[in-house]
Amino acid sequence: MRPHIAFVKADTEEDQYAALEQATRGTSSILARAVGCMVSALKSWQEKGCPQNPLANKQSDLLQKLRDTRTAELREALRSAGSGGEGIKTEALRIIKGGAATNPFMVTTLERIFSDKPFLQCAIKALEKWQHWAASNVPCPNSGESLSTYVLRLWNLPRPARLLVRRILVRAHQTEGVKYAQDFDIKGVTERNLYLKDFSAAQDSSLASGFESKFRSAGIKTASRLHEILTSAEAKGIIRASLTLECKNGTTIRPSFIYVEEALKGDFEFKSFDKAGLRKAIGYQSSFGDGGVASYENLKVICDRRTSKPLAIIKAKYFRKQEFPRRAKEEAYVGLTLKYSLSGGRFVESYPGIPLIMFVDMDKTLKPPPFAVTRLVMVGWDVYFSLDSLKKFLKTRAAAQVR
Amino acid sequence: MAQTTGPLLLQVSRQLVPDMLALFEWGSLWNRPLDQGVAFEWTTTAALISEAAKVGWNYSFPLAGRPGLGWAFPLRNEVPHHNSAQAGHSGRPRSEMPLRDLFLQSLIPKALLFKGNRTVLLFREGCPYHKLLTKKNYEDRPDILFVDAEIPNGFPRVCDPYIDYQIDRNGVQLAFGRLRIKNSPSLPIVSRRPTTPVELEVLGVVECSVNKSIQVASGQVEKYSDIFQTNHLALVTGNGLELPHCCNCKINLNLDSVALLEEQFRVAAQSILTAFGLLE
Repeated sequence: MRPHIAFVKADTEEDQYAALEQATRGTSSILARAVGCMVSALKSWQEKGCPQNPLANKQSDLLQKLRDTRTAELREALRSAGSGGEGIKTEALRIIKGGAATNPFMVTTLERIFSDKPFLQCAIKALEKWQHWAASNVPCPNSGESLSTYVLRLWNLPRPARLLVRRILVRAHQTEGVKYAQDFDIKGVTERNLYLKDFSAAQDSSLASGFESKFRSAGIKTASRLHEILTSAEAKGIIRASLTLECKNGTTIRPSFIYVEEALKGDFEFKSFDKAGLRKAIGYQSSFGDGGVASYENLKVICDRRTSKPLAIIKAKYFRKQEFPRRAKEEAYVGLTLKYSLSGGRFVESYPGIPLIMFVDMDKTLKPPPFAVTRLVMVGWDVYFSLDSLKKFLKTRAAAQVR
Repeated sequence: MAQTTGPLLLQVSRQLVPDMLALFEWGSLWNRPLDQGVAFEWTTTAALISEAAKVGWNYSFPLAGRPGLGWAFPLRNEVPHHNSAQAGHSGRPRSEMPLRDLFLQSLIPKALLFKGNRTVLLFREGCPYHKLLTKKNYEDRPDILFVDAEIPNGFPRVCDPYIDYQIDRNGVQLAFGRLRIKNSPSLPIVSRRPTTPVELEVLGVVECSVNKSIQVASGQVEKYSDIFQTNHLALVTGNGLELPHCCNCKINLNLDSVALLEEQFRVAAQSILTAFGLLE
């Protein structure tokens, strides 16, 4: 039996251990080979007297050196952390939910977000006048139209109605949680493309027949009943919930970086590493083995508009109170491995003389835990919480470069 | 027009089964809005117990014999679990109670009915034994479930970090097994005997509904029939719903008389017990 089949069937710990034992016996399965390889590596390490790993030691030395030399930066970061954040994301969400926008940088930020996230704009408009939106965007079933053809027709509505109708089709029959798109088990259908993409006819029909059977088991058995549901207050609630969720979800709405860029773009230009003439943002772990390592995303190079010279490398993101330490931990790894690279067995700065800036967007009243701020600074990030201080720092650097 | 309220249903339930109300901690349950349905479900439960007692069934509440678990009586018979589809979702977001006790209570039926050699278990909002024995995977939780089985003395029992269960029928062991006490997205089963699926004799399923639409209610009831392999289905409603193939019981919720409400619940309970063959 192939091991993964045994695991799928095993619903008790007893069966899982039995499946694991079977899978790791001999050398026939991938799992057995992987475990065997691991065990023999551990054994040989033990036989050699558990020698220390020179690379691990070097990284430890590097961290120690940073801890010894960055105390001034740490003091400054901890001081400014005490004054709260810019509250960019909070303000953006307030406006998305219908608040007034007066700050011109915020207006352009939101325009950029909306141009990239059509659902948000469409949902806000539809919720304002739900009945009107539903009546003019959700087609009535044709006379005698079956539930299955109606579902398929709805699924394939043109944009922008599709963005809302698909979300309702996915959720309206579910009383418990919403399934992940991956759980539909249709090749090529993912969370990212589910609500937007023109799928193939085969994908469309698998999706539509899946929804149809779910509607049937939820007691929605006719096209006209489905039409009622789609135009109901319940559907409005689904759209409202989707909007709230997608506004909160970090992968959907990222106003912080865009706002920082908008607020600074008068004097500074944000460029890709490539365009700024810097080496790719690849962590030093790429030198540890033969496996490919993708470059870090969501980082830009700030250049002086007048001279086009790079002033700093920047990452800007929103840190929520509950996630602050976790984000700091994640970004610490990015910072350390980006700032340094392994060259001739030694760690050297990847971008000598160019500071690595983490702009932390957080709520105005938030006091982040000092250990988390320390973690960011002690791997090489220069941490900024205020746009004014960042601007001041960049101007000083630009002036120094010109001199 | 007068409207039935939670506190009114509390009075009705007290008339029906005084000890059920006195023995356990009910928190704010009877003060919640009626459309949440919990008070309605418990009143129906009380009526079923009371009417069964009238025709010779003795009853007991196993949780009453477990000191310190009185607060758990109104909880669902559902093993605590994470919802894996929602990141960061905890299976017991508001519960301060030890996971061990939540596991334990989930496996304890709310009431036992016994007459002669026969024992019937009454579960509320789920029945973990059914999932454990049949190996079926479903998320549905019927409001009230009658099961023809017995739980031997001393079970379920905690052997930290495990909990052991056993369920018998006619004095013969149907199944036993062990769960690990942990918050997990799936049932944390350590072992089970037998390892193959076993059917559990479900005597009837009662769905209570204050204001469900016919689509939702009929979808639910059809599913129950499929999951629990029974035609003994009953619907107790406050909004006049009727479903085919179901014992339909209507309660007029526009009354403010305890006596009249009690009478309605008793009539409903009688017809359900008759439909489920429990009046013999």
